[in-house]
Amino acid sequence: MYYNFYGPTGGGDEMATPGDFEMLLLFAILRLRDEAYGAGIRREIEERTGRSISPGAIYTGLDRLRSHGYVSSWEGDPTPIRGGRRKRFYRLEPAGEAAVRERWSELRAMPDRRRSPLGDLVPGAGELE
Amino acid sequence: MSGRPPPPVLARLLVRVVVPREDREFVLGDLEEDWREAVRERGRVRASTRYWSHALRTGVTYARHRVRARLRGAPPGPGRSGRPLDELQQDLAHGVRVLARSPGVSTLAVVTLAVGIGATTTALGLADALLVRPPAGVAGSEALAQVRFRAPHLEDDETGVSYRNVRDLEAARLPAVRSLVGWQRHVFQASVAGGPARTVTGAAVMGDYFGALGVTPASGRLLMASETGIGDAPAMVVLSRRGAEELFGEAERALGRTLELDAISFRVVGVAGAGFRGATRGGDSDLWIPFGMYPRVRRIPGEALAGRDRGSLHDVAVRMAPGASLEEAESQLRGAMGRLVEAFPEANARYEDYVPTLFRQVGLHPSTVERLKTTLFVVTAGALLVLLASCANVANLLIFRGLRREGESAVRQALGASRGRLLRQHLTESALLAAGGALLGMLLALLAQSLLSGAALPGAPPFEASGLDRRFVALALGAGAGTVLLAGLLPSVIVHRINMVRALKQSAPTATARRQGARNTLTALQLGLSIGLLGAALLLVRTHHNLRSVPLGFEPERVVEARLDPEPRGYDEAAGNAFQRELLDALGDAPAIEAAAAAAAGPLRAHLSTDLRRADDATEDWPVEAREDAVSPGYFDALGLRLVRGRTFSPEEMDAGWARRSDAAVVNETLARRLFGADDPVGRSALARGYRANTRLVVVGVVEDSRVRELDGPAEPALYRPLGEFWSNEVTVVARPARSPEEALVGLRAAVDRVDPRLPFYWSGTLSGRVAELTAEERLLSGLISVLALIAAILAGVGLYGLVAYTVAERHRDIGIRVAVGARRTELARWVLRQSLRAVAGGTALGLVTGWALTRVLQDRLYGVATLDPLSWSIAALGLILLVGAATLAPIRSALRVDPMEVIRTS
Repeated sequence: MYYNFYGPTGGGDEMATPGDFEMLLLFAILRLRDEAYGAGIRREIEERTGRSISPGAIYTGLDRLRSHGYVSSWEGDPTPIRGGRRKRFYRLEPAGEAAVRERWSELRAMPDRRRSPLGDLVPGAGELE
Repeated sequence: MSGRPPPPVLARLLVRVVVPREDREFVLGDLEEDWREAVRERGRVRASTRYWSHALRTGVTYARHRVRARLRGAPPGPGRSGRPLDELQQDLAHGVRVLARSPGVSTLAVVTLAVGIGATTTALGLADALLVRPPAGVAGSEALAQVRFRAPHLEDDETGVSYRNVRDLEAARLPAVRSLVGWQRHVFQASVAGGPARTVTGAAVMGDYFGALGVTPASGRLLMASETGIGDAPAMVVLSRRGAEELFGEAERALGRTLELDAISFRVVGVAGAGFRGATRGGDSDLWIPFGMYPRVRRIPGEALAGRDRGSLHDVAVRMAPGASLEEAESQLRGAMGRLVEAFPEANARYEDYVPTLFRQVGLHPSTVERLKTTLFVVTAGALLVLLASCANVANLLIFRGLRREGESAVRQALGASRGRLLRQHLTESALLAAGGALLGMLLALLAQSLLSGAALPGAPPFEASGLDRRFVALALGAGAGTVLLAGLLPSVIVHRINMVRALKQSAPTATARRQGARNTLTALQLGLSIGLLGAALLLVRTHHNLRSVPLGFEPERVVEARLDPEPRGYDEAAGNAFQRELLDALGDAPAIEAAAAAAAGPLRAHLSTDLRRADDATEDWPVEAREDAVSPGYFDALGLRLVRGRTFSPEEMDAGWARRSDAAVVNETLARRLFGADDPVGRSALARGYRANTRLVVVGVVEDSRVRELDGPAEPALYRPLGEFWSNEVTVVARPARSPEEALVGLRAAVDRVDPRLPFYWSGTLSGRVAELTAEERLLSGLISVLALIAAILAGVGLYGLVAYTVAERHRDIGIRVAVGARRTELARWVLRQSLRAVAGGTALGLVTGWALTRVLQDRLYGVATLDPLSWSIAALGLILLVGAATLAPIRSALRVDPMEVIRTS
């Protein structure tokens, strides 16, 4: 295991499976496809979940995902609207896709469609699928 | 410039600092993208709030990320040690871990350092703004110097220099002098297109004024050297940006417009850039005209200022040639002046004594610089003492924590960590604390700046908050770096003197004693500094109070005054006299006023000095020097001054006064006593030499004493003459309000409007305002030192508390046993108090030394109070006793609560 100053950079088993927030990041990247960069991901999550998220959380979260091989990144061209700064785009790696698939099926497996306790809690939970 | 507003600078800086380099560009880009969208949708203010919130949360996220990563971090593995950068990283990580482990102590340390760093940054910032920073808009100030004509053997008395001599000096083409410029300040009455007049301070400038000062235009152009000379100067004016905005609404609209200045039309040719407001630091000039136009403004013939012996410029500056030193320039200018004296011995006679003297400081009069230096020195010294006290406090805290960690240190040493490495680790910790302290200290200093901004010292411009600029940050970081050494090194050395073996054996009586000694010394240092500061603060507070409560002879809050200058509106002496007579009539029935009068100078402004002697005095001596003012008959009544003998001026004497033929004089009690002793002075004659040569005066009345010029010093002899007797272009109207001062001022304005509504008031308000202005420096100084003393006292209290509380905690078992064997509560309390005794005794001794040193510096700043004022120092001593009481109360209570049974059970 090797650590750089900012966190784990490889190996290790701290993140056997991504946490809730990291899952949100993975889902957002999946949805955004070619437009998956920091600000876009944040907007996507904020708009869909109504949660307010700091850019720092996005980047530290993405950094963790990247260091565990769930996502990879590449850098775009500078744009004037960002004060001449570049964007860093993300895409899912096979491990990330697997994690999304796995979590999705886990979630799907839990509700009982005949007498759903979730139905009271979450409107529309019965229609998962 | 993209035309779009950039995101908040500070927030951006924050992100830049906390976000690691590999993410920085992308985070900043995201934030900027978001910012632009927010500006478009919700406006700038809400976008800024949003940016700040994102920046702060990002900061917290990254900081937490790092700490977590480090806390999980593995101990340094083989093959990685020895690389300095890695070690630094390890030290940092270790430091963060250690600080996070005792958050209470760390927070206290950071806050304490922040107070010290904040105070120091504020004080140094004040000194920087008032003494070091060049005037706004002036470029290359290192090659500038001001030139004063001083007589070294006449106590550095100063004189002005004529326009012609400055031209001649420049024409000499001295190798060390690139250009020589002068300017004459003048208060203009400015109006645009027949609108109402407003007073604007400006200057008539000669030579390549703007070029020499390195000023650049914001728009249009500046005046050229060829345009400023006496002769056929064009009626052109350059405005400051502020002046242009105030006069024309927008700076861009000013160019090419016509501006009436003292009833002469000028064309606006340019606006000066970079916030230039004159060569004075924090200057207040808003317009500049060619010197050649000055005679017209003053309504005097051009020749009056063109002669070698005519006119006197006091403000002259030199731009030295590249590489030339101040000394070279000075000696060359002196040589050239000497040649001018030889060439024109008659016109230049006085320059045999008065020689060009150069001062490095541009923008403030050298005497103001001298005075400010003392004041700022005292404030800075006070702030540094607070910094020292806060370092002592933190050092104490660190020793305290070091003691608790002595096991850890010993283990590390046993495992092979070198002493140097351990020391470095400690220093890294204190560097982290200092960095936190510096950041928080900067915030505190910014707060202090905003509180102080606008405060003005006499002769100096109002202090303007510099905000978070480069110099400010550098000062704060410098103070922070100082604390690393002061607060970090000492505890490191002390804690690491621990003998490893002894520490592991858990019995280290000598080491404990030594550390206890160090802690005692540090606490004594804090107490001493705070007592010294407290005493100095009290002396200054008493000085300020004394000055404010000097019996003035009148009640300042019951007198309002307003100053007018009819001359710029085209009044010559005859018209001015007529104006004053009309004004007196108008004042007679002004509303809301009980009594009103006019004076040439007015209360606390009489600067004119007149020598007097009894007419029957046969000697040629002039034994008495009095302050002279010319007043209307109702002056004494308006001020509430009682006539002790005789009467005030009669209408006939006033009439004679307008014709300059009156010999009537009213004197104050001090002058009467000095001239005539115990005799009745009414009807006696005196000779006066002052405004006019040898005048014979007859005393018609004696009025009670009042302060006429200064607040401190012995009673001043005062001579009053009928208002017409001397013409100074300005006139002061004073009034006793019938009801409120505000209404009375409205009444005064109405009276002036009836005579000439075009004349603005230069200054108006109650005389309390004038008194406050005269004591502004004392108020600021006493306020600042008091705040510093209070901070030092709080720090010392906390330090003492820490010392005693630690001792009590350490001796817990001891106390339990004492209680068990029957020690009484009073004995226990006394034992606890004794723990602070050495620190208190040492502190008192040191306090006396600090106090003595501070009062030595303050000596000339005190009024009506001795440096060894018993009251002030008793209060300081009482403060010390209260401090000791407050700091030991809690430890005493915890000592009394020790349960002997528990102690016995656990041991």
